[in-house]
Parts: sequence; C-alpha cells; structure tokens
Amino acid sequence: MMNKKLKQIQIEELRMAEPRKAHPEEEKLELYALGRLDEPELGEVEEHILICAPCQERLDEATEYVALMREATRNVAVAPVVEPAWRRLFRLEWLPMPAPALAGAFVVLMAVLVWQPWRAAAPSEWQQVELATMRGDMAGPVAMEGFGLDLRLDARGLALAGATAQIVAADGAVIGEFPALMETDKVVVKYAPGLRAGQYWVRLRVAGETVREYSLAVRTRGV
Amino acid sequence: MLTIPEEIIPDAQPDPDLSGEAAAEWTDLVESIRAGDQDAMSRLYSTFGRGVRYYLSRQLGAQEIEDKVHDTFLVVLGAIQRGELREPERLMGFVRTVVRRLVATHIDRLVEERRERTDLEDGYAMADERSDPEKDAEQRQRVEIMEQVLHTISRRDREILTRFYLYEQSQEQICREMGLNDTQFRLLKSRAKQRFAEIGKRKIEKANTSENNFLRKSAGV
Ligand SMILES: [Zn+2]
Repeated sequence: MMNKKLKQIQIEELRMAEPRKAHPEEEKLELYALGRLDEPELGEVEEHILICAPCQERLDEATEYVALMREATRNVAVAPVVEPAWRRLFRLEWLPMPAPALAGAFVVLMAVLVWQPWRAAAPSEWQQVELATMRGDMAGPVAMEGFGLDLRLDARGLALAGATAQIVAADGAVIGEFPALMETDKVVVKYAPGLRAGQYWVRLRVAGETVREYSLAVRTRGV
Repeated sequence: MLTIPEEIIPDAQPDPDLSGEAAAEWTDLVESIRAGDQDAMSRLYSTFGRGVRYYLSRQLGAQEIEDKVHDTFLVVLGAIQRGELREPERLMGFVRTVVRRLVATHIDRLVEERRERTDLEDGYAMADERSDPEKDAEQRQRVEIMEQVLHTISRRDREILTRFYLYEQSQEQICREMGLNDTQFRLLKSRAKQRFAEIGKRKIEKANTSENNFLRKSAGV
C-alpha cells in the first residue's frame, strides 16, 4: 500500500518535473501552431504537450495569436493596394511644388518610368475570387491573369486542422501549396504572383489527402 | 472498429535527452501495467488523459472525443499488456504515435465519407457550423487591435511580420532577404506581441468589461 502511494507521488512528481525540464520556448510553440515544425522538434513538442497542462494553455494562446496575426497582416497587406500603383503615380497630387522641386520630381518620374516599380512590386492588384465545389456543367469562377489571387474557398463542414491548399495546373503540376487559413466557413489562400490564363484546380488537403477540389479558370486581361 | 497497424510500435524515436530518472519512471509504470497493477493503469490515465483529450480535440474538434480517448488507451494498454512496447522508457513517444495514428485514421474515414457523399449527391449540403456572434465580435476586436499594432510599426517591420505569419516564409529566408539577424527578428516579433498586449490592456481598462478573456490573458491582467 505504502509502495503504491509512493509510486503515485513519484509519478506526480515526474509529471511536474519532466515538463519543467523542457517547456518548449514560445517560438517553438508558435511554429507548432503554424504547422511548421519538423521532426525531431515536432515530436518533442507533441510529447511534452501530452503531459504538460500549462503548455497546453500556452499552445492555445500561441494558436490564437498566430491566427490573429495572419488575419491582421492579410487585412493590412491587402487594403492599401486595391488601387493600381500606376494610377496612384499619375494622380499627381504632388505637383503643386516649387520649380526646382518639380524638375527634381521630373527626373524621379523618368527614373520610375524606366524602372517600372509597379511591375517589380507584386502584386499591384488583388482579385478576390470565391470558390465553391460545383458540378462540371456549371460555369466555375473566373480570375484574371496577372492579378494577385485572394481565393476564398467554401470549406463548410470540413475539419481542417493542419490543412493545406494546393494550386494545381491542368496538367497536374503543383504550382504552390499553402497553409489553409480558416476564416469562419472559408479558407483563404493568397497567391501574390497571380496565374497565367488557363484552367487550374485548387485542392484542400488534410494529412496529404485531398478533401475538396475547386475549379478555377484564369482568363487573359480584357477578355 | 479501430485498427492500429503493428508498425506503429517501433515508430517511436529514441530520445537522447530522456533523463535516467524519467526513463526509470516510465519503465516502472509500463512494467506495473504488464504485471496487472490496476493502480498503474489509472496512473497511466491520469498522466496522459488530459493531454490525449487535448491533442485529439485540437486535431479533430470536439466530436466523439471521449470515444477516441478511450480508443487511445485501449491501444496503449493492449500494446503494453502484450509486451509490444519494446522501449518502455519511450512511453510518451508511443502514446503520441497512437494518437497521431488515430487522428490519421479518422481523417481517412472523413475523406472516404466525403467521396461516397459526392458520388451520391449533386452538391454539398453539410451541416453549416453556425458562428457565435459574440465570439465573432470579440475576434473582430482582437484583429482590429492587431491591425492597429501593425499600423504603428514601420513598413519594413510590417513586411517582416507579414512574410512570417501570412506568407509562411521561414525565419532564415526572411533574415537573409531583409538583412536581419536572428536577434533582431525575435525582438521584432516579441515587440509586436508586447504591443498587442499593451493596447489590448488599455482597451480592456477602458471598456472594463467582464468578458474578453483572451485580451485579458494576453495583456496579463
Ligand atoms: Zn510545459
């Protein structure tokens, strides 16, 4: 009886001592929450989480924080670039200025026209496209070539912990794979370089398996 | 019925950092269970129960969690009792492997169900998970605070955070491309977190509501 009690205490101590020895750092928990830890670190964190209640709470907080940061950075990153860069440049609000400054500005303008920063800065325009699974005989969503894609995938009814979204070309080539960022019942996928005209598929994947697939057609500008 | 393949057993990786004391404790626990010690079984449950439940609900949501926790312990106990856990000191790794396998099996089943459903039905008509307006408002408020934080920092710092959190670039890549060292990178991230907590705290003091647990927690109040 004594022995059992002793063992009980020892195991309690073990539960406390073991975690204390190796609480994962904040950064590691954040990477875990972002789904970006690989073995062996992944194993270390997960094993620790299995026996350490305080770190379960810390992980919950880290998870909330990264989700928040993703949403806020997305909102802040997207909002100011709705207007194409060239249009901003030619709004010419800076024109009323002294003549020497104007001459200087002209030089800058010429430099800018040669350098074409709006081409370098990808993307200058974003297009939001709603994707939902539908039958083949229905017209699918269409995006425009060259726009940064802000895809909203209908993800109702899916459990998507650790899911990724893949953009796949018609020939099956995977163009990119991104973490699936959940926003209520939608997954948001941002693809800044945009796509060339053609037929694409966007796949939601969990543990390497496609759980839902969406059709996406991309057209040439002006068509 | 739950099936866990045999190959999961040697899957647990050796852990060079496992202290001798801890290893001895796990070994003792495993041996006591093998010897049929009921008390040891409840110790196993009290050690891992909460964590297994936490892990499963994190991966799969709240559905049928108790069944899955039960399944996990059946598999772990079964393996121990049959003497299949060859490295008892790696008990933690073994439990982890079992829950991971269980999650994968569950997801496979979901995929299969989905395939069958799309074969049968025209479109998708699944239960729409209703959102909670209060929670949504709270979430919106938090996002607004974070946006506020992002607006107070330099464009360059904002880009660094965006690259890390939104575009999922690695710390190495960001540091290389933006000419940062690891310390600067860490500092920027922790400052943003601190700022978020500070603004959150101020908002709470202002509103002085009894809700908003997360903000209070983040702000350390
Ligand atoms: Zn811990």
